[in-house]
Amino acid sequence: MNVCSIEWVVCLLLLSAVFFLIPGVRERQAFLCVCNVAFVATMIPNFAGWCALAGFLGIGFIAARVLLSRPRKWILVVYLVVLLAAFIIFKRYVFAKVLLPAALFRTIVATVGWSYMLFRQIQVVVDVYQGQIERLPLWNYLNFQLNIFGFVAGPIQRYEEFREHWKDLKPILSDAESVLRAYLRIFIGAIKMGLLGGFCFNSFTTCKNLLADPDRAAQMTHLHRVLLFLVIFYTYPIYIYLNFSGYCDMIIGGASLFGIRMPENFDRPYLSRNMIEYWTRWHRTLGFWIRDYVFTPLYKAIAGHWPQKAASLAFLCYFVAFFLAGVWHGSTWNFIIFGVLNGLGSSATKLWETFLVRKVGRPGLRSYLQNASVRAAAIFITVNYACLTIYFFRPELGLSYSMVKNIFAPHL
Amino acid sequence: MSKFLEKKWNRMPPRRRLFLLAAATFASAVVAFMMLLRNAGVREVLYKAF
Repeated sequence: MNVCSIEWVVCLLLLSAVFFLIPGVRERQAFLCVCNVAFVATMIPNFAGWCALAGFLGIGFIAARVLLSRPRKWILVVYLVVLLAAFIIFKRYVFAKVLLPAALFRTIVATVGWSYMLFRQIQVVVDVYQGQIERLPLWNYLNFQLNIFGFVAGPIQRYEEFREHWKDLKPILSDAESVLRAYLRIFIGAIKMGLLGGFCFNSFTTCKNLLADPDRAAQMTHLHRVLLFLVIFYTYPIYIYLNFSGYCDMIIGGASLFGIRMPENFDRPYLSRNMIEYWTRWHRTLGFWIRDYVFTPLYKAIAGHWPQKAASLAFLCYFVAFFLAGVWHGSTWNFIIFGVLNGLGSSATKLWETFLVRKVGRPGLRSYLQNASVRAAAIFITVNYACLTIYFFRPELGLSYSMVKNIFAPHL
Repeated sequence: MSKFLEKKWNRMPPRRRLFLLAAATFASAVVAFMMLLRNAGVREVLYKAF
């Protein structure tokens, strides 16, 4: 079911009203569980899809339960290798097709929601291993993983946050202001996603169709082609932002009607002054997840082996972490470029910071960061670089290439 | 919300705040439903029916 649809909004409003009438916490949990399963069922077309989903969820639960009683590093490593291999094969990553035998990719199963379940699952298992989660009932685990709010496209909620609301699940309908705020957020999200995002998407599609067609592009002047490209270059990131932040508004507003507080996912990302800050403002829950479960362990491992070189190798950790964040978004070559650009942007930020500290020291860096014109220039560069990364945020690499080619030489 | 607006919003009497919130919710609901109905192709069906 599409979130930006009349069915979703009407279902949400009706179900939240029913939820208000349900008396006990256990009954409310059961009701939300039925909603979760019904929602997932709309996206899984066959029995094979259900089996794959059960297997995917089962790996995480078994690993977590084993690690609860025996927190051994090798168990965690084996679990991560098996999980990531299954994820890469079932998601049919294009680079895996080059490296692995074709027979592995013959089976096609529905993997909707897997990308976000992967994050939630790794978070649970790693936190269990580190002793931060002491109990993991199957009931809680399944509802956390299949949570209707965040199943398809986030935000990535942490298990501890979910458990806090889940154990005392109650509607917010007793407070008129909270209810109105939740409704307002749902409707504004729908407007951002469907109306404003739709307008940007239509502008983008019209220009893209004109520029991608070599015959039509050849009939235009060079200036016309450049202008078309600029419209594509800037409207697509605006569309992606409106679409995703509108979706998150609908999800966060909807979840709050059911007493679940989802984490915020956006904080004016196009005002970031560098790519590291950008990932704490754009899809924040992913940025924080990458920081906690990829960057920090990697940096700690490097610091453990080479303590003297750790600070100067931090840029490498940034590259790996944000490259993986980019690649995770999609299975085609375009997303590899998206990942490389994000990795380069964030590691360049770290290198620049290290350079400035060496050159002018910490006090000099502080005054550099407080300078208004430096800030304006940094935001300008970051927003344009972010637009460049998002230019590759679509499945077809050929299209990204042909649009650039058609600006300069449409007849070739 | 900017700090200025947030301060102003917090200082507002509760009844006025609720009224403004209700008005904004109603207006956004009208726009959102019109758009969602159009996207679902329902609006055209209603136009033809009435």
